[in-house]
Amino acid sequence: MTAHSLVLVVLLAAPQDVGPPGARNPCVSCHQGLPEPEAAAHSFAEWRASAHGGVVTCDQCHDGDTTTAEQPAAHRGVYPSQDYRSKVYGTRIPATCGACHQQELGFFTESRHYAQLTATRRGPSCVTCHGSMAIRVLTADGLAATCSGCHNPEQGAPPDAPVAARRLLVVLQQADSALPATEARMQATDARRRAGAARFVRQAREASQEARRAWHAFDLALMEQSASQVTTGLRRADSVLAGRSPR
Amino acid sequence: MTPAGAVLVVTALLMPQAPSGRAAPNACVTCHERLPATTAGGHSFQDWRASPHGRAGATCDKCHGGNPAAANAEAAHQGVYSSRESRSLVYYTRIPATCGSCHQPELEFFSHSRHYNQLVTTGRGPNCVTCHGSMAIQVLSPGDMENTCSACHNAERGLPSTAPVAARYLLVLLRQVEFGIDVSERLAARTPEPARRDAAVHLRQARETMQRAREGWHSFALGIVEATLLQAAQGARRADSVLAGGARR
Repeated sequence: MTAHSLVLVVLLAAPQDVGPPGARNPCVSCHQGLPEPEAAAHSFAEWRASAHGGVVTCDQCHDGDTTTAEQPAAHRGVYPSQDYRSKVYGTRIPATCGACHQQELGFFTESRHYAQLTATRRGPSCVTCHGSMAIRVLTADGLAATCSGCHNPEQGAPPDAPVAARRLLVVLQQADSALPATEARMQATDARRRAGAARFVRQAREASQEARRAWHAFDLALMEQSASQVTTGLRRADSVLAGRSPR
Repeated sequence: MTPAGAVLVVTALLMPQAPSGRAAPNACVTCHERLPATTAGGHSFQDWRASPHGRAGATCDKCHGGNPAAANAEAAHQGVYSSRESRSLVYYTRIPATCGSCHQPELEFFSHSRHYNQLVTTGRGPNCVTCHGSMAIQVLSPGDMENTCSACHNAERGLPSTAPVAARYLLVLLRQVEFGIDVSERLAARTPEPARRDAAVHLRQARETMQRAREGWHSFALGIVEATLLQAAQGARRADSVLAGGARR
């Protein structure tokens, strides 16, 4: 819990840092001057360019001691990802990412994917779809290739599940596409209708975020439900803006 | 084209010009609207009246045959058969051709589908009314889809069981994209020229693409439909960005 508190404190403090983000972190200040290690799954430059880059420093996922710049002491607790003691060992990745991404972890632990991962060590973890450090996120087109590693007739996972998931991902991505136009319309509407619509637009926004979190449960019905809540919010806003009662 | 087919097409072309969506008096209609609903019929007269066909004035004879110009009931019903008879225009394997005499693009796509192939080769396959009901009373909603499709798409029959789920999500997507275009059009209506005119080009394209997606759905080549829908969605987004620029001006 101390480690979790530390992570949270660092996250909260990060945006207020002055100068290059993460520059005062000894992992960062040392590794940015080093050549890329050949064994590592990702590079320092990838970290810099990733969603975590500059804000969430190496030690948060790899462990180590940031109170010292001494090489051996600084690497205390850092292990190769193939070592079960590593915080980025396959089965430990969800807990490591989940230290910050708690809601996503909550949904993921309800999934059959998570059950497979913990019971058989054959199952997707966070990096399967997001890459190390969330360098990327699986696109709809990349989904079939990734999922078919297990979702194939030999492995026994339903081979056609990725087809449905892929389409649902397209639905999810499309769900809030009417948001900008709805907001632009609100600007051109009188204050009373604007206020009425704002509530539903807010609901749509929240539903959109919730849908992205709920995705991690890999429960198609739940995903569809949360994606359609976005559309419902926007349809209601649309009705209010048109002077009808929300439906 | 058969003379009957030609009559149907001509009638279809004429329909939109009928005053207030009603066709000229038709003997089938004027007689049947006074009769009690038949218990044997697959649908009632009221169903027809409320359906898109009732509103557009596509009268009974267009789908059931018969002669509305005849002098008496017997002559008027010549060529009208029970839908269980293979002679009937609404016998299930003949339904696609009957609907398709007006809805040609849909028939064209459908006749290239595996569904159609199943229907004509084995007699087991969906036809127009499976999704649309008699006279297009309804259109299958995403929630209904699995129930309907699972009659064949189930493990016993060996058909891919996720196909209806994927189709269901595609229908959700179709509605989303259509809604997105609606919203963009409403925004356009509130935006001054020239942005409105520039956006209209994208919106017209989006609508046309949407129409292609709707027609293409009947091929059940859903990957193509999805790509077409996303293209329509892109048109709406382009319109949105033109309109966003216009609002700033």
